[in-house]
Amino acid sequence: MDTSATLKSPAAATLHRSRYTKEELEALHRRMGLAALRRRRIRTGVLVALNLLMALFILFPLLYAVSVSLMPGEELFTMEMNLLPKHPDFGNYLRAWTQVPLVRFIFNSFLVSICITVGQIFTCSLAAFAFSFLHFKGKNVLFMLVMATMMVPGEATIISNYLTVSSLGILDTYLVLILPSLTSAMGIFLFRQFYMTFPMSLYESAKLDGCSNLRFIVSILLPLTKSAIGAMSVYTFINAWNMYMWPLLVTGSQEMRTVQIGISMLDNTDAQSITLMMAGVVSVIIPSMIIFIVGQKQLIRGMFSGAVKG
Amino acid sequence: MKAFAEKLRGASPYAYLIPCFAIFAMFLFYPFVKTIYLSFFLTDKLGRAKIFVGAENYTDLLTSESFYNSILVTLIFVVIVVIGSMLLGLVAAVLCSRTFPGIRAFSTAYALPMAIASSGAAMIFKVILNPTIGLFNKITGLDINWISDPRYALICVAVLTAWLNSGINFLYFSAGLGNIDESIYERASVDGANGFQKFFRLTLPGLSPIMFYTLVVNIIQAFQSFGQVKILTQGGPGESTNLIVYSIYRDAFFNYKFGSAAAQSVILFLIIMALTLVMFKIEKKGVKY
Amino acid sequence: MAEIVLKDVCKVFEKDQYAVSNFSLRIRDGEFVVFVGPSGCGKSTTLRMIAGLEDITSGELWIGDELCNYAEPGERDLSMVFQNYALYPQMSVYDNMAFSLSIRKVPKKEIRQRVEQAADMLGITNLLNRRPAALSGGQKQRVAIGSAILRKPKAFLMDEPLSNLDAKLRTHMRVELAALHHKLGTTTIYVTHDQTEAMTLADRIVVMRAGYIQQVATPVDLYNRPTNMFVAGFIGSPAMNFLKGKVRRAGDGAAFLTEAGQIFPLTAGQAKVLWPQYDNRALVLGIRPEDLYTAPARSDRLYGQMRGTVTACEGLGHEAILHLETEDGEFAARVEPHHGAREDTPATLYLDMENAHFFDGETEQNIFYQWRNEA
Repeated sequence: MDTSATLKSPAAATLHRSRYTKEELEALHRRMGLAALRRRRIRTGVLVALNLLMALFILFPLLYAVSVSLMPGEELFTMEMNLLPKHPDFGNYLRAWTQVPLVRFIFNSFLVSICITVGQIFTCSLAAFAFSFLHFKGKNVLFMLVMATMMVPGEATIISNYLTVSSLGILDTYLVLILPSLTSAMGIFLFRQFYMTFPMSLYESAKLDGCSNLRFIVSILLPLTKSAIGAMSVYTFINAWNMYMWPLLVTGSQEMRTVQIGISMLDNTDAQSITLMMAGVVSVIIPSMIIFIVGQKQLIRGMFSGAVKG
Repeated sequence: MKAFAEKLRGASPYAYLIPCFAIFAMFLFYPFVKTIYLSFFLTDKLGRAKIFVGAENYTDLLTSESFYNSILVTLIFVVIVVIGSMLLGLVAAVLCSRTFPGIRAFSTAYALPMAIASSGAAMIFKVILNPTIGLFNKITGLDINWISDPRYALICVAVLTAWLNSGINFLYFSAGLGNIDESIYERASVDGANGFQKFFRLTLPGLSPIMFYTLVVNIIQAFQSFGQVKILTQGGPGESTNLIVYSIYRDAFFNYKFGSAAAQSVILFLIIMALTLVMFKIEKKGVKY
Repeated sequence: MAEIVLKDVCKVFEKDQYAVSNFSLRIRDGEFVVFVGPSGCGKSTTLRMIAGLEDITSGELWIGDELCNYAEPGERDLSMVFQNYALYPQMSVYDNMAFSLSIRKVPKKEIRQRVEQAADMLGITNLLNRRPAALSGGQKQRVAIGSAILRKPKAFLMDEPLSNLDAKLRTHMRVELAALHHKLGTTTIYVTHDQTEAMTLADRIVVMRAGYIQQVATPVDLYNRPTNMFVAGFIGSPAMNFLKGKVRRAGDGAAFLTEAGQIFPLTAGQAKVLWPQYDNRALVLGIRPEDLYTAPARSDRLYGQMRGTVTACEGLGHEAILHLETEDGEFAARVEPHHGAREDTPATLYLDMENAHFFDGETEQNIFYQWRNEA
């Protein structure tokens, strides 16, 4: 390249070569380069090491549960350190799955969780649509009312709810497990937050094209809010799967129990059943964990792309 | 379904609110009012209001040592849980804020506790804390019956809850860290700030908006812990882990004192509401953004 | 304050993808150097390497007498102004400006004095208690500059500092920056894609493209003696007009024959260099809009005539830009406001051949750059 810069660079080089010989310069380069490399390696190394420690700490209960679930009963009962099973086998799982109707519990939980998830997406997106695109009297008041419900802890109403459903005679049914959770203020808030990022003109131009409100929701809004729906689904499903107090109150018979209540049937401190119990717990955690790992990206993208910005 | 859709098409904006408000009305507004109503009555075993007693349920509670105990226990519990879970989430988020090989796996691990049910987690902890075969005693060389000792039971339940809640805090804080403009760190580097100075003078203040939100959510969530108490300690030993929510459950469904339980529910609601309002007030004054 | 020398500096991001290649430059103490070029040309990367925000893949960076390739950003004693200002959002303006001093444990009294002095210089004393969110773009920019100057660093690095401001404010801040540099005399490296900023601020301009330095020169030199077609086309607005063609023998001298068959006479000096060395080689004639006239202005100059149709006249008051459609493509001419040409009518433009540039059609190098240098 024929430029004045290259013409000038030899001058620059001589300036410093006058102080350092070429060999000295190379040595300097090498020494400082190595030091910098070492510094960077140490930094990355420390970071990875700290992360490993932290991850081990966070995952420890889970890893230990898996380990215990694979131990034959007698292996657990020693005073020695027994982090890992010496003779791992799946016997505990086999017995756990036969001793209590785990399949039935898992089916119940899946059914209930899916219904709740679908129901929440339906009711919340309709309400959020009205709150963000339509004009009507009392809109702000109603929205405030929805937001205020977030402050009411579920436990504050659980007694009356129990009395309501028992007087309706729907105790111990799928309906009673699903119905109270069919909507959520959080979901409405999340969807509305998402819809607000769309310009009003999106709705207005659809209206001008003769698009009905319902059609607008189904064919325009829902496809545009896939990530919010994804996030909602993961979040709602996991919460529904992990519900404890409500199913505990309203289910009586074994056939209606959800997993979280069901595995408590394995909760027994007698000698043999601890490993059995861990096998049950692990079996029940795995579905929600899979859903979480698969949906994690969606969850993060949906929940934090607008909802929680300060 | 089709008829419903038909109706929606021509209907007023309110139609879109019907599904969710129907649920809210039936399972939130109505029971909320009913809870307040019940709290002024003595009830029969089926929870029907029988005798109007005015504020007697409340005055009984406010003079009952057991109730004060459960408030105190709940407050201690909430403080431990909130500090613990936010600290765990913050440390994890900071550890994952700079990229390094394997970061995806680590961030999944840190968020994972949010996918775990309180009941399952409680059963795992029960094994870990078991006095004879539990790993915790083996590792530390201690000989403590964690769950049956009134001095430790509450801490055990609180640590367990902190662990459970740390997952979502990790996500909140990660999002908060992501919202901090990268170039202010670059400017600070050029200005000569070291890692600690950057953390305490840029990262922590930069997290303050999300920190506040997370704090509110965490406090509300901690107040509502139930499954872990039910499985791990049943409120005991003694009443050392008798959190308000557990106390409500016990009074209503074991002692059939629905009126008193309803009064406790109302008080729980008032406490949470007051805390939330106070925090919003403080935030308005403190964080100018 | 110090001299900054870069020698054969390279930046490789991914395997064999050079963001910056063999960047060599000596920036004198107190000099105002502007890196300019289209986006992605490596100018910001180079600046960030000097700052220490990017690693230097190979080459040497000297700040003063020290080899700084491996120094931490904070050890280099430079200060930087960012495009988005990078103000610390939760600190007041005062704390923002004081930050770099306070982490160096400078006594509080001295900090106060220096912040106030800098604030006074930039006219932002009344803003010291505000938060960045409450400031306008121009005010934020002043705060960022104030934070940079009060530390009295060895050099200022500025990464497109004015590009987020509106046009009027940009002009204003440009003048202020020039005055500030005049007053402080601190070595400044300034990155921009705006040629007006480059031309007005710089002592020397470094034009970059695709990671390579194209030319390093004073603004006047750069304008009058571009080293190649890229620099010639990049600097100046409207851009230089280019005509592809060949050199032909004509009488005693030579002439330039365009692809469409227009013929332009060459001056004796041009003919001497181009003929016969460039016979049958692709050439490009470059002519700036202001060297095109609607009538021959002086009788002692050599003019080439170009015919075409006027497609647009943009009157700017003190001058006008004529856009002409010719067989050799479109042309822009900067002419007197009373040029008399009308749209959609034929017109003839006169090229001042003395000011024409000739580029090698293949290498795109300015043929006369080297020749004039030697002369």
